[in-house]
Amino acid sequence: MTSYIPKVTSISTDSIGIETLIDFYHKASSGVCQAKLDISLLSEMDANLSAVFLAISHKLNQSYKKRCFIELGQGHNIFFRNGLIAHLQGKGNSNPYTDERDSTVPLRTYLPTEDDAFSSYIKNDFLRHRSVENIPYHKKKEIDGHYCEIFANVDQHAQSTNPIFTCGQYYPQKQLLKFTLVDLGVGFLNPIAKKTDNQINTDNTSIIWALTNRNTTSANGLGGFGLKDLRDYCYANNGSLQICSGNGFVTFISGRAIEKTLQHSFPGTIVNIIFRSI
Amino acid sequence: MKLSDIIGSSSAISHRKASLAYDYILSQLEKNTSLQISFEGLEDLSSAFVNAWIGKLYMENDPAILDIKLSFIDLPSDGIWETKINRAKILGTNEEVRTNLQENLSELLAH
Repeated sequence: MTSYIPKVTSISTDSIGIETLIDFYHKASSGVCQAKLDISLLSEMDANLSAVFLAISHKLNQSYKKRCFIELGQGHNIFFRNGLIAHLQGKGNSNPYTDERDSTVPLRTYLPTEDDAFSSYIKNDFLRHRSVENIPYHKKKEIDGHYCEIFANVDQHAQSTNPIFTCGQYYPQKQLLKFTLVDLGVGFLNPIAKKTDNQINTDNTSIIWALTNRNTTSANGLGGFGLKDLRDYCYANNGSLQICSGNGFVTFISGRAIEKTLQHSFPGTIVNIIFRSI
Repeated sequence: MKLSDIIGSSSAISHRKASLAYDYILSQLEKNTSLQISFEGLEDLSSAFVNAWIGKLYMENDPAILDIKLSFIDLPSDGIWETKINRAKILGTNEEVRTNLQENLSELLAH
């Protein structure tokens, strides 16, 4: 059996990149290929997507008793620096490899109950990062607030005891900061279909529903602002928010929601945020 | 009383911590005590926390009494947390706002 070799030249933070990683998950889980992702021939894989890869690795191990590997080849040292290799080696959040370039927001896993540790990570590893040193304090505070909202959202809705996987990457030349947060919970569709008596019945529509006005699946109706505020922040600041859940993939950018239906389903939810011109 | 002391943390993010704040306030109100909650030292405040704390308080108690007995001080000047608190009060006091999803649904299904 062979490693999984992506049919793309790079794995980026977009629907094609995410679909490639989900395709790997489905092929590895069904035994079509080894649980080994070979990126040695790729020009690049966005380092923030380490959070997606580690979540897939966790799921392959948990559900199929498969240990996951990544073939880096020459280059791609960033995956040592951001902690992915340490995680795959079972070292958890302790990374023995240093990030001398200071371009990574390290890969971390947190249980949904570890909100204090997550908050500390955002403040110490992200908001003190050189990539955001020129952002005014009040903007950082706002960004911090949005990340905490995402974490609270997962804690409230994912219905999962699995860890949350999070990682970021700064691209100084492109002035881009990409940040990813992944959970292995129930996703958007099932609870929203239940709430709307199956009137909402696709993954994409459920994602859009959740970000419309003040919709919420909270039983008492007390919810429904966190993700919308983050989307509005992205709209106002030339950023973009991508949400993948099940077969759905929606990009919120420049006041629009762009939908794509993926071939395979992701067993949880992926939230990508891209900040531009920072 | 500082919120951070009530929940034992400078991060008011999760539902679990919101329950601590809810239970504390309720126990004080039952003693007929007026309360001033300070946000000093607090670093994070999520909508989920505020909704499960203040929204629930306003949903399950008389808003007029809460408005008299419960006040919040030391809020940051940027207004973000104040907005979250005001939205939670509106959600808590207005059942129609909490339950009316039909308009949004029709809009989406036409999409």
